[in-house]
Amino acid sequence: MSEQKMELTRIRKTLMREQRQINIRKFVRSRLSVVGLAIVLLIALLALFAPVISSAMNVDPYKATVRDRFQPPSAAHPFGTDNLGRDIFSRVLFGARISMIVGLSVGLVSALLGTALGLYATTNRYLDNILMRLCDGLKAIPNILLAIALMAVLGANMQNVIISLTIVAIPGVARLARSNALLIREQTYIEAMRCLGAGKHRILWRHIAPNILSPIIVQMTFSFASAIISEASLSFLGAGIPQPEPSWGGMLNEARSYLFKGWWMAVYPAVFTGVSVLGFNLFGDGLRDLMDPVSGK
Amino acid sequence: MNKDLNAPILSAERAAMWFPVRGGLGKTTGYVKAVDGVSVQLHARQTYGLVGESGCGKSTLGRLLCRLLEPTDGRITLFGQDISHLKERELVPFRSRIQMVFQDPYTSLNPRIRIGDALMEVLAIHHTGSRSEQMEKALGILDQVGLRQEHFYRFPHEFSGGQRQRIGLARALILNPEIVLCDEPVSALDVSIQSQIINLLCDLQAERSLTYLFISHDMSVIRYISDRVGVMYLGHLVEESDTEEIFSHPAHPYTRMLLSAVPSIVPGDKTDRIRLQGDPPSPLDPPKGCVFHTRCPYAKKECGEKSPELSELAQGHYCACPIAAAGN
Amino acid sequence: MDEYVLRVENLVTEFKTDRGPLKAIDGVTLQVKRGEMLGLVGESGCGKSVTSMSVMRLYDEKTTVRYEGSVWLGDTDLMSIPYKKMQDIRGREIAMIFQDALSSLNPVLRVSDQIMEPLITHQHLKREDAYRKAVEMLRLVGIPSPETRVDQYPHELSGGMRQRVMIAIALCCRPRLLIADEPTTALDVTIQAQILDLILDLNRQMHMGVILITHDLAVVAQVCQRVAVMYLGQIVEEAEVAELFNHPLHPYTQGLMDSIPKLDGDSRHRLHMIRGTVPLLNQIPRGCRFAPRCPYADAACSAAMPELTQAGGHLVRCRKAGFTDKKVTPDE
Repeated sequence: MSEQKMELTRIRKTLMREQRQINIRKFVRSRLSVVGLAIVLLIALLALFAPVISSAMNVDPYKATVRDRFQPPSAAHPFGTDNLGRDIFSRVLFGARISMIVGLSVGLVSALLGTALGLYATTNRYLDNILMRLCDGLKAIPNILLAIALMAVLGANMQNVIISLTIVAIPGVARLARSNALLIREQTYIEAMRCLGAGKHRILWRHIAPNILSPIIVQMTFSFASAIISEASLSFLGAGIPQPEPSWGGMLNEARSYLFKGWWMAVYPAVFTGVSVLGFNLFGDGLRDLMDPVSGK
Repeated sequence: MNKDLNAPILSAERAAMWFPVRGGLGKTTGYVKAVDGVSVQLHARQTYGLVGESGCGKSTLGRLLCRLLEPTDGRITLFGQDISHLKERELVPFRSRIQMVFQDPYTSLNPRIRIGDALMEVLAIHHTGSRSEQMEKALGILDQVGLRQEHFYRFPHEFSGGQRQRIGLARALILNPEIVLCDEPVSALDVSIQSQIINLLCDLQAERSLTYLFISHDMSVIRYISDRVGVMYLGHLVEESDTEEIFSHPAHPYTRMLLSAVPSIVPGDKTDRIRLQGDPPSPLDPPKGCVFHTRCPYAKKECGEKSPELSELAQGHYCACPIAAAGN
Repeated sequence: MDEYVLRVENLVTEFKTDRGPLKAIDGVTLQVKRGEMLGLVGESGCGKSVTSMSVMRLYDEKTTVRYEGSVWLGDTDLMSIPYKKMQDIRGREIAMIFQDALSSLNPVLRVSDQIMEPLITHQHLKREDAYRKAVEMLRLVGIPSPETRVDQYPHELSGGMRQRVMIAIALCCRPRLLIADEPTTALDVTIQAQILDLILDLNRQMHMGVILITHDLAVVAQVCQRVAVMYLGQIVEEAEVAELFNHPLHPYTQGLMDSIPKLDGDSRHRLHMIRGTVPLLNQIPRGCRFAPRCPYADAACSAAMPELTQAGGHLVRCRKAGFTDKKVTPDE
């Protein structure tokens, strides 16, 4: 018997290695997901080392120099300066921190809570009715209005921005999770698990959840993107992260008044927002393919 | 045959499953009477074949017997205990003694879980043994259903239909059940694979003293594998008897038509077959009286008025048709 | 003189895949006479459906498929005419019915519209004439009260009735050839018997050629005149029905027939099994494709591919066809 086990361990190891190789090949073969991963990593690194890079380049995101207002991009200020004479390059770097934290937190937390809500809604008709009507109600209110209302109640700081944007993002995920879970629930293997005595939670989390992951991941990249943009709007309305803390959205909104005077004020935060959203979308797609054992081989 | 010697280990008494049909506002507008007052008894180490066309309620009856569904009416008795209305949690101890094999080998396995993990999970649910004991058991059962140990770490999509059905069988048998309900286990398979699985089922029955409920629409397969056969039509059991008896002396008009509709592999055979006209009625609105009278060539006026009861024609041969009973 | 409706000669259908070309069928030759029903049987993956799809040229020729060989419909080689012209052939000269009648019918169109469409496009009938013809067709395929059924939608019909409608659509332009791809597989036995009777009846009435594709040997035994058995993209045996079922020569045909449980056979002996499974198309064995599963195979079988040759009124692709005896049961 132990001989058999050793044989099996050997098979397992080869298989796992094979699987890893297949996964890497699958990921690399879809060039775009590699590009996505590179973008995400790059921005994460920039955010992480923002203070180091800024001080190395001798720029400060908070220091306003009236003399240096509306400087176009130059050697001293690679991305130019804003209406208060602050260095845009370092503000973009520091803004990456906030945008990443907000985007990632909202994406992950709303995916998790939304999935949970969607899954449990499928277990009971009454619960389903209540939860889904609630989601419908929330969806009927324009996202930004809901977020502003929540911010007004909670008070303006980053944690509350994350909380309110998460609440805004949950109904979409929950609906998506629910409708996909309803499809998976009809599969015979779910019936088989019930017949084998598996409990409700095991069926939901071990057998249904992994099978609805693909659309959830796609939705997560959407929530990530829209969180970055919503945060911008909130900041603009003064309901977001308070000044002078730099965030991409906040910077964009400031730039709106000076589009002709200093185009660079808008362009750099906009490019970074766009590229990071793109990066996450591409990466999410690659991730989704990886997690599906059936696709490609 | 030896019914008097030992009581049935699984039985349904006048079991009924009515599925509510909901209208626009969630109001119940009617019922689909998928199973309507059916009694069957399974005896240890026997194979009970349940045959009928699609929509006759044979699969629903199977799901009632293992309590995947809760009966609207009637009683399900397993090992002498009434399990008709037990809660999901109270059923768990019974689950290891009665198991099910499903029709579609492609949707009955979770595509994201490796075969070995799927088998070990079953044991984990029932808290049986340590991880290494579970692994040993899983390997043992793979071997018994004719798969190799290198299949342990593979995903379902890497297997053919026949192999998947073997995995489904392994999953059902790993808990050492006494009863296995087979819901059309070979219908989705090619003929050459079908015979492999049927032989495997027979071998396992002999080795493990299993009791089978074998649900199928295929009369030939039912005849091959069953000791006793029940014929269902539109939620009702219309005839029941030992296999040899029912195939040599089919009594109910429906059974006769069903048998004569089966194409034979001998060319030119059955030129004189009796044709069944029309389609089965909807179970949402079954005919009054005998459910078969709308298609029955022998139907009389009273057939549309009174629902016939099963009556014993010969020893152990029951038939729900007064005309067959009188004219036999 | 025999009048052939369809002659398929050395047809090869090769799919382009990521990992190179895959021959789904490899050198299929068959003929259908006027008024004849030819059964094409085999297990899943044997290429029987690919054959029919290729005859109709239904695959995308730009991206997915490459054909070889010829398909003669009367005097025209369907493989050499322009792709556009196939649209006139399909539905008018060759019609097809499928297994799944529900998804083959458009759920938002009335039955009448779906029968009238080919009549209007192919036969240029006026609407009211086409409507009258539609009712007539429904009566022909045995639908009760066709005058009311014609205005219903597919979901209002039962499974057997839908398959009848499909047959009505297929036959309304009086095609020379009908290809029925597993027409009764999704139906119950009692309905299957009705539909088979209908196809048989219409085949006699309209004197068209029929190719009946199925995995069910018994269906073929009941309605066809000739049978071709396919395995892994090739025809392995072809003969008259009575001949093939009474004296199967190819070990695969024998194995298939023995592995079916019989309604009137002895039920207490073990079922015959063909060992192993059908290999994947990218793992086709060398030599005789059935050799790895064949109880009679020897080294020579795996060395060279046997040709389809005449033997005792059969066409059979087996070196040992004359020597194997059904009575001798080999070890399993």
